Amino acid sequence: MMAALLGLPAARAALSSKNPLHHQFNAKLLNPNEKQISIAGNTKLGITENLELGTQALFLLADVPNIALKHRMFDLGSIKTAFTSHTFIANLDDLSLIGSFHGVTSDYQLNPQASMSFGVYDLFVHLTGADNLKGEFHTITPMLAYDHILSSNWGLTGLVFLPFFGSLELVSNFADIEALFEYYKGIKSEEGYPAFFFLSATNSWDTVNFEVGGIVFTLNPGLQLYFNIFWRFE
Amino acid sequence: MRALWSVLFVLFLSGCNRTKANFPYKARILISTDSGYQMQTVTFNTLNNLEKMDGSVAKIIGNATLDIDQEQEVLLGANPDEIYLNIGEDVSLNYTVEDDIVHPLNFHSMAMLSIYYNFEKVVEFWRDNLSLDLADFGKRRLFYDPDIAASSAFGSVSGTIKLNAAFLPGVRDFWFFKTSPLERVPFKMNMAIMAHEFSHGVFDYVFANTGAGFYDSDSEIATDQLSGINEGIADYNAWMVTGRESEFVESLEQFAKERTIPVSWNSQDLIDRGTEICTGGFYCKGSVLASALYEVAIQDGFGRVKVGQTVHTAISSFREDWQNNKSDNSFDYHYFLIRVINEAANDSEKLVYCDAFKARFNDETNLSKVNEVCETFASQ
Repeated sequence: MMAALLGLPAARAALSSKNPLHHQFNAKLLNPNEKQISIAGNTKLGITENLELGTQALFLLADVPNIALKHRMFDLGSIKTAFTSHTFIANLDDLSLIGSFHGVTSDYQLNPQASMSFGVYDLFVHLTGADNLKGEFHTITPMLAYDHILSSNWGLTGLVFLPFFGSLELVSNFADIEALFEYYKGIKSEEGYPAFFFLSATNSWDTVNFEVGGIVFTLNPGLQLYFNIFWRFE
Repeated sequence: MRALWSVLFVLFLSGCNRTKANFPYKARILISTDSGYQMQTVTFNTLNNLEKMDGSVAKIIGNATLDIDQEQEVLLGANPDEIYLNIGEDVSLNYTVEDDIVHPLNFHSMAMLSIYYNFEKVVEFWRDNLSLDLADFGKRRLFYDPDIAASSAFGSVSGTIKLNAAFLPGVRDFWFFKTSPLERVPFKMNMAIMAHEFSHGVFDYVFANTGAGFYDSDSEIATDQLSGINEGIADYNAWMVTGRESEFVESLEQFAKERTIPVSWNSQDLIDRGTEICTGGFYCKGSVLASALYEVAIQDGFGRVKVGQTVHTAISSFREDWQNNKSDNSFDYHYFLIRVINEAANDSEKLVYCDAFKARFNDETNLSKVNEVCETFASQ
C-alpha cells in the first residue's frame, strides 16, 4: 500500500543476505535492472550481474557531471572483489578539476548477516587552470568496512579510511611544487593522523530506505551528521 | 670483426677528444646590446674552469635546495650549511668548440654562460666606475635553478620559483630561478636583472657591512621604507649599467608599467591612489626614487655613472640614519635623499638633486625635510 502511495514499482524483499546493504565501498552490486534513487548517495542501475552504473544527482544539478561505476571482478562465493570508481568534473572560474575516488574492494562474508570489506582506494585530482597551471594530487588510502543486517528492517554500516600516502605535483608559470605526504607519520606527531570514520544505520521500509549516520574526521573534531533517503526497486 | 672493433674504438676516441677551448674563453651567447638581445661572440676575462663554470669572481652551482623551515635569523645567517638542505654541486657545461669559440649545446649551458658573463661585466663595471674592492667584496656563488624545501606535518614539500632572481643577505649568494614560459629573454640572462641583483649585493656590502641582522627593525613601516630604497637604488643601477630604461621589459611585458623608469607617479600619488596606480607595494615608492635619480642623470653635466657614484657614496652615510632611526614608524626616504644631496659635488648640483627630489617626493613628510636642506643651498 505504501508503495502505491509513493507511486513506486513493485516492492522488493527486505534486508537479507539476498538483498544486502551495499554501497560504493563494498563489492555488492545491484541486480540486473535493479534501480536505486538516492538523495545524498548515488542513483544507480544494475546493468549486468557484474556491472552497476550510477551518478550523484545533486552534483549533476550543481553542474558537476559525475559517474559512478562498480564492476565485480571476482566472485569466489564467500569472497567477492569489485572495482569501484566515482569520477567528477568541475569547472570553477579559472580552474578545471577532474576528480576520481577509485579502488578495489573485497568482501568477506562472515555469516549471512555480516560481512567485512577491505579495499585500497586512490583519491585522484587532476587540475588545470590559468597561468599554465597543471597539477595532480593522489592519496592512497586503505579502507575497512563492516556491514551488518540486524533485522529485515535494520542494517548497520561502518567505514574507516586510513590514508597512507599522498603526492602533489603542480606546475605553473610562477612555480613548480612537489609534495609527498606520509600520512602515517601523523600518528606520532602533534598534528595527528588524518583518518575518516563513518557509521550509519539504515531503516529499510519496503522500497524506501532511511539512512542516518555520522562522519568523524580526526583532524577536525566534531561529528558531521549524515542523512539520506533512497529507494531501491526492481 | 676485428675491423669493426677498430672502427668502434676510433669513434669512441673521437667522441672523448672534444676540441678544447683556450683561456681566455670565448663563447657565442645571447647578450644585451644597444640593439637589443643578440647572439654574439664574447670573451670571458675571469672564467678559469669552463666545464664547471668557476672563475675568479663567481662560481655557478646547481641542484641546491634551500631549507625554508629555518627561523629567519638562521636563513639570514652567514652559515650556508644551516640554510641549505643541499648546498648543491658543480655544474657541467655541455658545449662544443669551433675555431676556439665555445658553442653551448643546450639552453642550460647557454644560460650559465650568459649568467657568468653578465655577472663578470657587472662586477667590472662596479670596479671600474665605483671603485668596488673586488678582493674585499669576495667571489660569489651563483645558484642555478635552486629549489626550496620545507617539511610539513605529513612529509615534505619542495618547489622551484620562476620569474625571479634574488640576492640572499647573510650568505651573500645570488639565486637565478627556473625559467617560466612567460619570460621572453629569461630573467637569468637579462643584464638589467643581473645589475639589479648585484646592486643589492653592493648595498648589503656598503650599507650593512654584510651583516644581515643590520636590517632588523621593530618597525614594519621602517623596514618597508628601507626595502623600497634598496629596490629603487637597484632599479636605478640596472639602468646605470645597461643604459636602457626598458631592459626589464625584454624579459616580461608586465614590467613596462611599474618598473620602467621614469614612472608616471610620485610619492603623493601613491598616498592618494595606492594600488590604483601601482600594485608592487614598497617597490612602487622605490620606482619613484629610481625615477628621480634618472631625471638628474639625464641632465647636462651629470650622467648615469656620476649619479651612481653619488648614490654609492651616500649609502655609506645613510647607514647611520638607519641605525639611529630604524625603530621609528616615521622613518622615510628623506634620510637617504638628504644624504644624496649632501654628497653632490657643489651647490649647483645639489640644487638639481633638490628639484628632482622635491618633484618626485612631494608628500608632506619628505618634501618638508628635503626643503629644509635645499633652502640652505638656494639662498646661497
